[in-house]
Amino acid sequence: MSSENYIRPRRRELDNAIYGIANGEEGSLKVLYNLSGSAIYAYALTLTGNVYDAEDVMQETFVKIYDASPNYVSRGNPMGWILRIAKNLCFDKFRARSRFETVSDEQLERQLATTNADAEERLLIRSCLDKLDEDERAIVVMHAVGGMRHREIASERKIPLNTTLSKYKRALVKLRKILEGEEK
Amino acid sequence: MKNKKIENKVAQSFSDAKPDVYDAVSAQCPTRASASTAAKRSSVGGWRIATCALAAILVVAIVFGGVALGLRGGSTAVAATVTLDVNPSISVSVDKNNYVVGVEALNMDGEKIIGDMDFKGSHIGVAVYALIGKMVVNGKLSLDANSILVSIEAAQSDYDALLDIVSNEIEYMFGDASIVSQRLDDTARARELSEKYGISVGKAQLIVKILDKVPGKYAEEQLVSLKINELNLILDGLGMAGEEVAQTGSANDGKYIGREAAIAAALATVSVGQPPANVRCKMDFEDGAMIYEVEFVHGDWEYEIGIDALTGETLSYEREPLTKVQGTPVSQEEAKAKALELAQVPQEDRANLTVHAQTKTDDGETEYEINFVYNGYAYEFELDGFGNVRAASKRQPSATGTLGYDDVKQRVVEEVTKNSRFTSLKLSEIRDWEIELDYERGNKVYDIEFKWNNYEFDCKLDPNTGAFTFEAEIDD
Repeated sequence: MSSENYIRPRRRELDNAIYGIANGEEGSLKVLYNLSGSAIYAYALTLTGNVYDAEDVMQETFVKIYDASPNYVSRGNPMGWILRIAKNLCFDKFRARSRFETVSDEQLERQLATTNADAEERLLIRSCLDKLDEDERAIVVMHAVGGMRHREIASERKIPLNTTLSKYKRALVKLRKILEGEEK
Repeated sequence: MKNKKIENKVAQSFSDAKPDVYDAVSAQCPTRASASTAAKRSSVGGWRIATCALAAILVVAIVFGGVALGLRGGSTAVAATVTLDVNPSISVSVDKNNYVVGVEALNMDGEKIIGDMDFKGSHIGVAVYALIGKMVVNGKLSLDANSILVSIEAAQSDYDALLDIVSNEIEYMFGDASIVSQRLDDTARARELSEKYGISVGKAQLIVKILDKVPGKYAEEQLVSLKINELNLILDGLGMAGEEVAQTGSANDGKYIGREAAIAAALATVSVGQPPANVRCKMDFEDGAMIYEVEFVHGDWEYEIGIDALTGETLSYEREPLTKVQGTPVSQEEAKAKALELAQVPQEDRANLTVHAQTKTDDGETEYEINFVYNGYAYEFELDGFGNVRAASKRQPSATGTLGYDDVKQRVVEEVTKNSRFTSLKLSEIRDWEIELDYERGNKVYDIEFKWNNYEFDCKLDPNTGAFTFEAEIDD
């Protein structure tokens, strides 16, 4: 497994990067890509269920952000704004095909095997997709990968804060069991 | 395994699995040119104008608009000056054909808006379009604060045509704008005010007009600190818009609680359920705070209630009887006791409180004036000889229209220490405070962040309801 050095994006850095893109500041797109790429990909993967669609959505999300950045007004939750764009693109894909190209667990493992994720990481990703329900995996990704606060997630998903917290705890219990089972 | 470790594993897993699509993204999203670099381009080839929206349109307007309109380099004699005030203040001087001779930032925000853009030789319309666009992009103009002041110093014969061009460009860029416009004419007083406070002559002239409309009501140093949107709201409240100054559209009060909520708060103060048919509500500025002034008749009384426009708190209360009041006379001591009760001063605190009381007679009727300071607030009451409250106000001397930050901090500590994990938290040990007044679904909330020991706190305080929530995480 890679070293655990994932740094969650901070709101101000995200805001600055988006404004930088709007204002033509060199390097801002790269900064935003580094800050939010993992969260966008993770979120898209949990929605589409397959690596290739998630990759497309990730790419299209950045182009959309670029297009929308001149009109961007920070409301204090830039990651929520970014993931909303990603979600809409996922749904656009869904509407265009009437369904996602769902893949089996085995196919997903094969797809993930082409990435830099090691075996344990691949298991964790597949578990997020397979063992968690829709709300749980979205909340886990938004909080753990996207760095969003539970209150922001509750507002974004239009569910009560307590529901967000309890679903998150439940999801972590499931993931802990999987990880500890794996480590034994 | 700790939650934090699981979170990190999840995050790292997705991070490692993500593909590298940066080159593909980058190819579709060229860095937008700033005005100076764009000026070097010879064609728009490669520009995704249709999708790059505002910023690109701005650059194109600045750089190529001048060409399309016939960039001029000849005449430099200033025939007129147009000043745009939002909070950024920018002055654009033009020649007799309305081509830009010079652009000057009148404050730091103005400097940021102008940036590297060079408008010399561009038509005034191009310059205004680009400047307003940049203000929109930077959030200086928004649906919540949509006012812009246009002040033009020009011969009367040129004024209308110039205002027409400028207004059209503003509306074209930001259709929701409320434009307050005026011709800079008798500017001696305005210039004095402008120099004294470092504001534009245009804003100073507008303030002079407001001061003259209601002499003695406002302090000039307080009006100077307001943005154009707040001044525009005051103009509306005073009925000046369309008379003393021209106005298109109307100022939005989206930053505040709104008229409906203000009326509800005022009616709740008097325990009136349904809004009376005669209720009136306008915005005003009082003691350093934007307020909604709500007037209505209920029972035998005519009420005028001041509601804090940001928090919804009742700041002032006045009522006049519609018919002669009768009842049992009360003494000054009884009037004092009533005032203390209304201010909810506990019995045990009353003994040590200095209460100033005065008895007056007006037209043969007794009046009591009671005032005191309690818990950092200055209270003033006026009661008639029968113990009826005629006027009441509660003010925080240092208030600027919101809860004071010290009060917010105090409230945060009170609330957080209720949690058994944080009973030992002390105000003096807290570091890195960040307090912002924010809006959630139209309601005002304080978004508060701070650090204590190895915890990072994120709190919300609703100034209207007092509702408080917080999250605490170990700060890595």
